[in-house]
Amino acid sequence: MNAEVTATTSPIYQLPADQVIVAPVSAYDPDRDSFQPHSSALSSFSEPQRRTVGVRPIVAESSWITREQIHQIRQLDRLGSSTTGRGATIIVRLSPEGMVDVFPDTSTGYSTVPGVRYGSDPRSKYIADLEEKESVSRQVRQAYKARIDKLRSGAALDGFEVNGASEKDFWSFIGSSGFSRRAGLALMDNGNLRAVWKREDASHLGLHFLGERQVQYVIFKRRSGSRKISRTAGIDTFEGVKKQILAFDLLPLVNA
Amino acid sequence: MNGGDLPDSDHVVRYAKYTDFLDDEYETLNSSAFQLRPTDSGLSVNWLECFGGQSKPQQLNEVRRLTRLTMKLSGRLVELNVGVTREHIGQRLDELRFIHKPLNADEVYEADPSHSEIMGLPPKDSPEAELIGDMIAECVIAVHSAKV
Repeated sequence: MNAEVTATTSPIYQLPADQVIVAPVSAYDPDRDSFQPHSSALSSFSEPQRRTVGVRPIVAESSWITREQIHQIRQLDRLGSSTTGRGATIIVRLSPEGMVDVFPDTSTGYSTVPGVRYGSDPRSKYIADLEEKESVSRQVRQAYKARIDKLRSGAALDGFEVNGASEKDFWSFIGSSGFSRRAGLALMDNGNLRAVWKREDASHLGLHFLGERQVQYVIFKRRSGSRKISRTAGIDTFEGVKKQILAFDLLPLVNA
Repeated sequence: MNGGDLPDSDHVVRYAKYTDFLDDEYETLNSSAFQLRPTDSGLSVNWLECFGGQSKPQQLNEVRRLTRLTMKLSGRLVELNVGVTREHIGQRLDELRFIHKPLNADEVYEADPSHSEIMGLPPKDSPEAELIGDMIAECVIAVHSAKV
């Protein structure tokens, strides 16, 4: 390890604070609750790479990364993108002052150093985004399942049951829509499921799953620059309702 | 007052089932709580100020005592202000009214002087009924236990 990799005297491009660097870990100190980056992340730097990527102490061999600096920890076997680390890979949160700097002369905008990936790497970012979305989606699905189980119990107490065709349509619609924000769920008196998304700005989307891929919808949307609220309701297919959602610019309502 | 409109300043409560709520915390209500049954012309509510001179908890206790519904522990009484609700729904419907319709005593039940109905709602299960139900749900000002 050498001084060059910690140099930041050349003109640099600072990564935005919301980006992350992924670095392999070689050791963990439970007393300090800190991780040490694997030296191979730096030892394979060639001179052109040093010019391409400057890494300040955050991944220097002697630096330990504290828990507070870590954005996320993932096991290597799940990450599947690094072979240089042992045990785990850490993803380090970049503070506003910047812990990782990238020189502007890189042709790709990201490092080619083995074992180090940058948030600005399009492929890595794409994979990370997918994993994040899948994680959120899984949590939302679990929350829906728990809510439907409770509604099922509540309905049984009141002498009715969840309509299977409606529930099937709900899962089919949610699975195909990619909405990442959780809706409230209730039962109509005929056992059909109704999902409702609301926001403080009075935008509102209610979807009542009728079965046979038909949806009864209610839409409230405040007009831009106005206190007036447009309200509409109707029955449509899955595809038709999705068009309505786009037409009323409701994607921010149904996505986190 | 029988057959007359309730004063805008007054309040009513309606029983809502657990499945009428959109969350486990009873914070938001679905339109299903405010839709007519196929055979009904009005939506049953209870007029709180009918029990004049009593505190809100006492008024609610009277509603619970006199109801002909089987109120569950998991259900709730949701409260609306008459005038605010009429004004809000007036953006969409001209004819919404809160009418006093007290129930007489019979062989089983004591008289319920607080019984009233919301009249002028669209037919059940129509898209418009769901829209109006969602608008009324926006007017709920308090959620009370149905059983104490």
